Amino acid sequence: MRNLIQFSVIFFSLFTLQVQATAITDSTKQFETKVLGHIDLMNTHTAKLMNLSCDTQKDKLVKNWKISYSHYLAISYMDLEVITKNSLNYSFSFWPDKKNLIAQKMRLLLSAADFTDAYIDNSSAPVKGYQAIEYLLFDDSQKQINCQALKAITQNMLNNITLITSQIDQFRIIKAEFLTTQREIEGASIAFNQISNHLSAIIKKVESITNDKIHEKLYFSDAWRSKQALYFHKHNVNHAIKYIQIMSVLLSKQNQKILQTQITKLNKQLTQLPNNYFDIYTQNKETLLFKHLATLKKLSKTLSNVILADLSITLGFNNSDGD
Amino acid sequence: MHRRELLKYSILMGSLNLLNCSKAIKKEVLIIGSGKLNNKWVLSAINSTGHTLYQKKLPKRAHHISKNKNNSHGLVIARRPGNYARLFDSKTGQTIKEINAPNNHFFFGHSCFSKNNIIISCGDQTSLGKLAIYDLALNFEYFIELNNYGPHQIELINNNQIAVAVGGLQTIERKILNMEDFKSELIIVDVSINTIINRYKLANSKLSIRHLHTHNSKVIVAAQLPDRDTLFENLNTALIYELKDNQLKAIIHPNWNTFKQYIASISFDDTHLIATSPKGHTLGIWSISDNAILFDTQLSFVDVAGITQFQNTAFWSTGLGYSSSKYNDVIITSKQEIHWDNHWNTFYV
Repeated sequence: MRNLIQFSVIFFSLFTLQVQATAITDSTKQFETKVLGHIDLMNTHTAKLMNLSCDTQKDKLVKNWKISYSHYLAISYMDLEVITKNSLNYSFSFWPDKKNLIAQKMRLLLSAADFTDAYIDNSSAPVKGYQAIEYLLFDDSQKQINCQALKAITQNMLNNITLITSQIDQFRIIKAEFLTTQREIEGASIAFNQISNHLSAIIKKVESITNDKIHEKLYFSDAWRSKQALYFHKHNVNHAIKYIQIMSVLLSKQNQKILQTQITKLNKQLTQLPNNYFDIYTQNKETLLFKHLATLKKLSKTLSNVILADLSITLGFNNSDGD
Repeated sequence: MHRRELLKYSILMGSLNLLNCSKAIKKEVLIIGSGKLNNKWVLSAINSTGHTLYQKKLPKRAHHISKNKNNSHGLVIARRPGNYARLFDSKTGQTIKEINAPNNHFFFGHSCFSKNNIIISCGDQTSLGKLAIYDLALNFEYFIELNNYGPHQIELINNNQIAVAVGGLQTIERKILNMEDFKSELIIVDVSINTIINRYKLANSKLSIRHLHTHNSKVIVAAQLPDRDTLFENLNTALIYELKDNQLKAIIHPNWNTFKQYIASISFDDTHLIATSPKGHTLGIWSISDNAILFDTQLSFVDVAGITQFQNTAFWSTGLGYSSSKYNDVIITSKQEIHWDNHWNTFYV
């Protein structure tokens, strides 16, 4: 009987440990699957861009550019080894463009007699990716879409997405050893770090356009040519929320509730914000934008606090600048 | 070593590796660092297999631990902008003496021992840098003015010469005030004659020298790019430089993608150089003879920062609470409760 009790205690302890362990691994895998889903959708909508007519389907071009870019934004602030190993960090987006290099380099590109996706591949970052396409679709200087440039830039993006997809098993978003019971907390930590990076980046983007001299710093704004900075910002925040919701099941009920309250507040603010940054002024919504920024910062801080309290995971404990 | 090999060796974690590594460590070693444990700041010592030997409570967050090579004394010092320094016996962790920073001054988190002194990097209220010179019993003696902002790591080159990594950044608390025009430099000071004997600047003025290491009179410094908005223009810049022929020569370009233009700790011996980037969760090991990369792994060691070397074995720590050692191709990882802070140091039993 005594042996049976001992066995039961040991079995129960192991079972409890296994349940907890599985929950961590499951959430981390779900996080990874979510990120992979965004890469798939980038691919789908970038491929659609390639097949549309520049002359008669501008609306569809714009629509697919927006969708593809919004999915790219879901992965763009993360440390993905498949991107860094292939030096693709600046191949999809060039931001911040403090010196308006996109316009300078695109003008040079468009003055070239002929170019292909290979030509784009060997060119500098400002003529690659979503902002380069945005220039072709929206810049005031573009009376009509330069289709050769659009197709070359889009094909270059597709080539890079194909490269990412082909190597994603080799360079996992969460390393295989972090999905084992022994090291799964490191996997969860990577996922939370990636979410934290995402939140920090979108906070920085909003901060860069919420100051008194916004009109002098127009280039700091994301997607300013298309006047869609806040449209993409809303997608960015929604991505962050989805990621947090996947990983927050690992937290205590009380902390899940705290996070959810802040997420609800964020969602309400998002519905009240316009898509066009300049409508913030015409609609007198500066105060709302500042409140929204404060809510984002609070969510970021809360996330750090609750994962430390519940999972003993520290975010950026050793990466403070200057030390 | 690259990812596939790393996986292979990670799988080998366990008693077999402990055995292998304990064979490698001929003389027992104490690895001492600081960190956070249950919401308290502590000084912690572990042995080469990751077993915790002692933990001592600290008043506030600490940063670096320096050692007196002539006895068992160590000095743990508060993180910037910090106010305390504690002299302790590394064998037991017992406090010998604890002091506050001089009036109207703060500590930057680093110190070193010379033959006759303890030297601490220090700043006044404007963050103008000084070296605070103490005797070996931690009694204040005098200041050496550096006439620049933000001295950080300091190490002994020989009996009296000290290498000082001066970031150049003027800060209030931790906010940078002079990002546009800071001037970073490596300063060499002779503490026996209270004199700055040389100043060396990097060719790229956007870099800030924050960390360094000395070994057999050789000085190697690690720089960071503090202004993240200038990243694109500084992708190809070297971060690790050697003081040679009276100038700072670029020797290593860590992959900016993985190191994020940020190095938290650097260490080298006769054969290997190690640097960590907690921003990239990355550790790199290079050959000293030809600067070739030997081990480069991204996202494998979460929040990795502290490093030290002992008898051809590399040790490193993470903010998540892991410690690892690497001897040849064998990596052993163990978990401690503590969230390890930026720096580690080895002491001998």
